[in-house]
Amino acid sequence: MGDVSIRFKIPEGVSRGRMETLLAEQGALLFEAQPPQTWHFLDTFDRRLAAGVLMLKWSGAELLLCALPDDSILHRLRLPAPPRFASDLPEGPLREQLAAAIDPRALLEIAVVTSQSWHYRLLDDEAKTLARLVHTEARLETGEEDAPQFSLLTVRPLRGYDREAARAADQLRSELSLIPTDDDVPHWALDAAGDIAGRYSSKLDVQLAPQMPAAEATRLILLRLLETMRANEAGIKADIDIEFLHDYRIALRRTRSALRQMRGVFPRERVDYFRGELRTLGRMTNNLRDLDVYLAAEAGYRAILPAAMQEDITPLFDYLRSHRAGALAEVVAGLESADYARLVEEWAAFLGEAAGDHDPAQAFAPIIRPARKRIARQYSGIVRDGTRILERGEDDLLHTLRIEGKELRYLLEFFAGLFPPAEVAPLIKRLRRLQDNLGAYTDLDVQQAYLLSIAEALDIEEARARRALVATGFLVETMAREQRALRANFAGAFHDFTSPAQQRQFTKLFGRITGVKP
Amino acid sequence: MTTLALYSNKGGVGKTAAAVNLSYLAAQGGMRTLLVDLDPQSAATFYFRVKPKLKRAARDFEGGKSLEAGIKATDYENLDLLPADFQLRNLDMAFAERKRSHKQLDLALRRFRKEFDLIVLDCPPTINILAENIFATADHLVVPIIPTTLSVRTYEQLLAHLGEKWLAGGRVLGYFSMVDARRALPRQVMADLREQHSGILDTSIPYLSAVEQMGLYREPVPAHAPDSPAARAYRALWEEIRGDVSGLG
Ligand SMILES: Nc1ncnc2c1ncn2[C@@H]1O[C@H](COP(=O)(O)OP(=O)(O)O)[C@@H](O)[C@H]1O
Ligand SMILES: [Mg+2]
Repeated sequence: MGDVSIRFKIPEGVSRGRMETLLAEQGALLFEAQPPQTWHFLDTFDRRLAAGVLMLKWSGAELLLCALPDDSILHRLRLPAPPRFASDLPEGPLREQLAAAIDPRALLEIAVVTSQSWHYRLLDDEAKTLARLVHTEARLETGEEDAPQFSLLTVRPLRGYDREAARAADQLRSELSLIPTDDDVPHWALDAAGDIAGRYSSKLDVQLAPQMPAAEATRLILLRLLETMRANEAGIKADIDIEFLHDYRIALRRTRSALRQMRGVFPRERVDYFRGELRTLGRMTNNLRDLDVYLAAEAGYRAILPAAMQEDITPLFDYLRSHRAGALAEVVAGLESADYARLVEEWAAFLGEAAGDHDPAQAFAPIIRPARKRIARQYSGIVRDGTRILERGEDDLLHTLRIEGKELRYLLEFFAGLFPPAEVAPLIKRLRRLQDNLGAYTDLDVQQAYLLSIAEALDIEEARARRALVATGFLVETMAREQRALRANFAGAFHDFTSPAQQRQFTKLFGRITGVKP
Repeated sequence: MTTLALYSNKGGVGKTAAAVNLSYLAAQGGMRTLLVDLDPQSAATFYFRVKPKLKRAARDFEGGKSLEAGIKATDYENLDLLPADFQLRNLDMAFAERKRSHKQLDLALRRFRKEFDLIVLDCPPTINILAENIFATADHLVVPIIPTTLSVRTYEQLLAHLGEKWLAGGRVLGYFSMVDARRALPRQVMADLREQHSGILDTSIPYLSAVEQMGLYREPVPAHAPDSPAARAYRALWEEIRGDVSGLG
């Protein structure tokens, strides 16, 4: 339709007063001056809304969820305070869509913008409107004197008058020396604020070349992971949402995995030292993460229980809740400790070093060689252990297999840039399906053990606690049943990932699969 | 999507005034509205200050494709206009030449069903093939009736022509137009007609100079004088129609 606005950035230094005069000279008629309005733009730390082409803004009284890139309003809601979580909103379509996009993350204020608009019309000789013009001035509220500012002129053609609008736009452009732009106020604001706040992504996007020396390439990966860990520290300490710790732990786990897989490219004693320290660091965060996961799952557990028992597990979760503050304090203390500061400093220094004489020869081999070898090895182990589970019923290996799968996934991510994405993607898809099955199965194992251990800690003299025990029994029984169903699906997912065709594909990309019966 | 036709086989009864004001009110209420000016005298087009192009050929109605290019935005949110770019006589003849001659308008407007919530047809006073086309595409006819014996007779002729199906379906919405409340005769005529026909709306549009002056200020009455008695009357009429017709929100 003829609905596409033509937008121009007004050169800096052209004041509102000057624009008023210039537009009047062009025959534009001022129709409406809108009072200044302040918008608080909200998104998660990792900009999940933007990634989902959504935009959330709060005016001080109203919350608007809009679709990018045209800012069309999807849902609106009167709201006296900006929400922190999707669950802060009343039930309804806005909450639903928001929850799907951001849960369990918190909303942060990523930009505060004050803008004011003046609406003009260009008329023909019979006073029919041919085009609408909007002059908008916006300022990012950073609290600083030289906060970014934006002055925009939008020409909005009316249907059936595109030619007239284009002509007007051309004329304004040359008369007022305007600069064509695709930006509008929200996009400008998000960009400008992003420039100030920096962008965060937990994605591992390291660009490696196949011939890069192995130690150097590994250091790049590890540096990127260190950045991710550090970027999450503040959010963990401020307890903004549970994803900061989650992302931190994933980066840490990937770090440990990379160090284990690539240990041959660094001096032995340094690797041993850091692996030990990083393992301790990981343990330090286990307790808090467990509590986060179970507390987040509370509603889900309740939903499993029969109606008459749904309240009965409350003591269990009260118990978890009562321990969370302590667990958080422990993690915060850990992150603020001198030991931690020293570890980070040593680790960063190590990653900043260039490979030298004291390094093993493998440090200088092209990264493509160990990358292929490690992936092939890892896959071989999965084929071997999965076969043992299926042929000999060694179900305790399911946990091992899950960890091996995770490690393979990390390897494929580390080295994604070295192999043709179109060939690797189908492998990852099958691996993910296997991991989903294994993950769900082993999670249920862990959850049963965890719930039983919490139940043990309850005071059995209390009637509430006794009812909680019965409810826990019911949950454990349900989980066990679900586990049997998952176990039945394991064979299919495993065969799918390790079929002869898959093995040929792995061999082609990464080299020979070892220790596996043909 | 709902199609309302402001229809009467008499001229000068207030069809165009109603089409302009009702479509404006619908658009104000958030309905994406298209006003189709079928009258070559192009009064509705004039009220919205749009310049009609009289050279368009009647064959353009075929399939409606180039109709789409003819749509003009009015100065009001949600309200577009298809100007009177056709010679009525040509349109009649063009329709007559085709197979399924009384379905041509419906076929042409079909493509707008998705884009608009409401189509309002401002019809010329016609009883030939164009009228059959209007009857075939409109969900409801909104018929202004001046409360005089002659006008009432015309209205009854129309009902007779349309037949039982239309009446039973409540598809004809008559209302009294240009009512001079000070005179006794119209009151009697109105009471009698209401007695005999159930399809007459409770709201009437009085004779008011604000409506007459629309040609001077060239705006819908509720846009020009939102608090005037005329604006209030059209608002009440629109509310009553909305209440009686499904799909008007
Ligand atoms: N309610 C009214 N009060 C006064 N004048 C009216 C009223 N309705 C219509 N008119 C005037 O009567 C004339 C004919 O009205 P119009 O709406 O064009 O009728 P139609 O479309 O049926 O031919 C126009 O000049 C119009 O301004
Ligand atoms: Mg008319």
